[in-house]
Amino acid sequence: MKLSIRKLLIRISTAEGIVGTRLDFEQKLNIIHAPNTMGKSICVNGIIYALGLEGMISASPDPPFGSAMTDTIVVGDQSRAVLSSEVLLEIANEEGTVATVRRAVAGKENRHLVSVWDGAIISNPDAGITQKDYFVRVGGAAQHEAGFHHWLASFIGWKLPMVPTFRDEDVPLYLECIFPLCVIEQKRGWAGFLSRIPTYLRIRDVAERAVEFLLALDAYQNSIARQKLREEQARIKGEWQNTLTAVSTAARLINGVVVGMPAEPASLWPPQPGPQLVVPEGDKWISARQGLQSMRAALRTLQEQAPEGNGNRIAELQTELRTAEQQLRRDEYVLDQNLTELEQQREALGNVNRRLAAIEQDLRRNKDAKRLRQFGSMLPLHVTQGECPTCHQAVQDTLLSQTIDAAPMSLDDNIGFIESQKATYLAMRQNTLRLVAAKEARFEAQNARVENIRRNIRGLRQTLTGERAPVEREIRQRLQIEEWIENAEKTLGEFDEKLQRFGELSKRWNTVLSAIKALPEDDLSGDDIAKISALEKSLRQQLVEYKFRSLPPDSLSISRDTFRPEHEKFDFEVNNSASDLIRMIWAYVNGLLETARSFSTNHPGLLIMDEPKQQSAHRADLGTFLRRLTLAGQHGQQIIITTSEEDDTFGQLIANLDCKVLDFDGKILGPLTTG
Amino acid sequence: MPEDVFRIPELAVPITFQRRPISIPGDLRPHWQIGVVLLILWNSRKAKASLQKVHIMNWAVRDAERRAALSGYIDGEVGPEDVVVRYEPGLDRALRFAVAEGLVAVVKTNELQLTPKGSEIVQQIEAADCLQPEKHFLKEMGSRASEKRMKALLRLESLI
Repeated sequence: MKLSIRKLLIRISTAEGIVGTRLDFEQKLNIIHAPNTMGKSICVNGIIYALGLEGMISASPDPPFGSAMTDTIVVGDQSRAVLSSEVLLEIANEEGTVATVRRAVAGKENRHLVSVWDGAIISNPDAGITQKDYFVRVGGAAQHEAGFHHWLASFIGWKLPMVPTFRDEDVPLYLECIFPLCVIEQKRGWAGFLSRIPTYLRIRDVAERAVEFLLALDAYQNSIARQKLREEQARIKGEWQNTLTAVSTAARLINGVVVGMPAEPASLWPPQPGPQLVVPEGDKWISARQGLQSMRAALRTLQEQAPEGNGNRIAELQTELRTAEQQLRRDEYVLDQNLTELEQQREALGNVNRRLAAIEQDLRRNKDAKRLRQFGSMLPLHVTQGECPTCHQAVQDTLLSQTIDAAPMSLDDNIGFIESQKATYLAMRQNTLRLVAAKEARFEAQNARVENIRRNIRGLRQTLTGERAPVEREIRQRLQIEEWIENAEKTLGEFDEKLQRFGELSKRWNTVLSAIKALPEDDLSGDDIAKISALEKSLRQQLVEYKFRSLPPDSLSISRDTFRPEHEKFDFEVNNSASDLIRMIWAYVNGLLETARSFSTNHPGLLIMDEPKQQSAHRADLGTFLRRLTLAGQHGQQIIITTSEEDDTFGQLIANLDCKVLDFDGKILGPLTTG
Repeated sequence: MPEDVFRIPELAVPITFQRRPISIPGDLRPHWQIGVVLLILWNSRKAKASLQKVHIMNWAVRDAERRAALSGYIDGEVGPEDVVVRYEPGLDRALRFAVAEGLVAVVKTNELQLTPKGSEIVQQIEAADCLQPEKHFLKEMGSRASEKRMKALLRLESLI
């Protein structure tokens, strides 16, 4: 994986001739030295623009240049109108293949086109080489065959991973998101740590994805695998619940319920005691198989009884009617009670659901508050550090009156606290759901019983008043029992069949669980950890050399989650030391480059920094930094930086430094004689 | 026999009480509330809003029923008497923090506006996966919740 910049050519066409500059870079540290406002940033932005990467500076569709490239350019003391302008860049990759790219800035030509020649046409304009046009900065430029970033990625040797956005679509990790780790431009690149990784593309955790990609960490693949396994888990859970619902619905047919069946996939199958289908008998629940036996026995008794005549049975029937009427009153009373209990359980379920919704909302808000705190740490807020922004006294992390004499929980504790509440209520809901189902079954069973007695009483009355023959009543009883037996046999068969299904699901569940267990805990492979440790070591070492003062460098580490520097598990925060922020950026981006020297990564071996001497960074520290950067040359890496140091101090800075200096006294852009 | 209680050895120890940190509802966390304030201003015209409007939006954004009520009022489907706005004292504290942090500036006596620093943070909030229902609602309300309509609501004027 390598990208190196060999030559940059900027051409501005005016009525009075062509103006511009041509810079030749070498495969080591290159320093562009010129006073301020003389066009250094045009050169760096020219490289960014030629590579179609201006999206990393801003989402704006305008080229990242001032009026010199688009409107009027001052040459000497004469203002010339710009007719058209363009940027050409000669680049090479790991295999030494050279290509030249050209993109128009001003003029009639389409700015969304980049012309690519497969050869060095800046050095040798007459080489007979083929040219092809690619489109850039429009949808699909990273994925489509004819897209420039598609071409550039394969030129560098990159295979861009697909990453999820906040809209839950998968998009390629755009080049605009990767290059801010190798190119620090002047306008905003130094304003914050990794502040130039664009967020407007709406890629989730984009900075993490970019570092992961650049260091070629396995973590991302692992996290995708984990995600897939989670989805499979959810699928199995869904199937389990559907099967359970099907079984429970079937059981209703014979007024039965399923007991002992776990509501969620169980890894231990079959559970002990085993799941059972139970049916009501009087006031107790008995197993459906038992119920089936006793019903069969009852049927046999009925079949053996010979139908009798009416004659002397009147008294007997009257007694039976009285008993049945008493039984009906008792059963109706029980039914009423059952209904009350059912309603109470349903009410309880409603309460639990309402409480759960409130807990969910609170949990979401606390999590949001936690995420928002992290934004505060990019731009330091006093509230995040528990300090009043006005009087700098300690404040508590709450909007309740500060005088209330109780400390609020820390956000993490609070989230944990709510999560445990949620777990309790989820368990309560599970339990209440089971109770509701049981009460419903009980109510329906009782209802069926009451119906039965009523029908029996009606039949007895009709028999007594002579409307029906007694034999009819017995036949009806037999039919009812026969129907129940038929249903029960069917349901039991279905139940056994479904038990097998649960067995299969349980097996799949176990496979998924063990696959999840096999993944490294924080998704980082052994290689990943070695790379991060190397980056961490380089970062600490550099910070010591550059005299970083905000924190002891040894107390800093690289987060295994976000890959950002952190201090005692908290994201690195710069407190009032802008120059230490600059040192941190130096050490981090160069640390990535140094890590790429001893590990296989996707780093292009290129680092471009526009004016690294920002803020009040000391000249001595810049000197140390430059010396360390010269190491790049020994490893075939390339660094391009710009500086506006005063001439005399610049001489001291680069004395004995193995670097190529592109020195300008005045404007970098001047009349171009050739080409 | 109360003394008998102390024959149980486990209970015959001095009882001490320890003050534990208390759980705070998420919407009373300064960061949550400041985030919502920034989003309200961000979705207002010129990133500017009166204190009253911030209070109304802050009241409405908090749950689905209120969101529906305010939306219904603006569409002229619900009368102002059905939109009972409650002032949240925590909001005033959050505003004071936000102003002191330089995220929000007071322009005129009664008007709040995002500062450049505030809009930088709010753009990060927009891009990140947080405050989803809040963002969705505020974006949808956008310019529909104009100052004029908010004043009308407070004067109990109907928009029908």
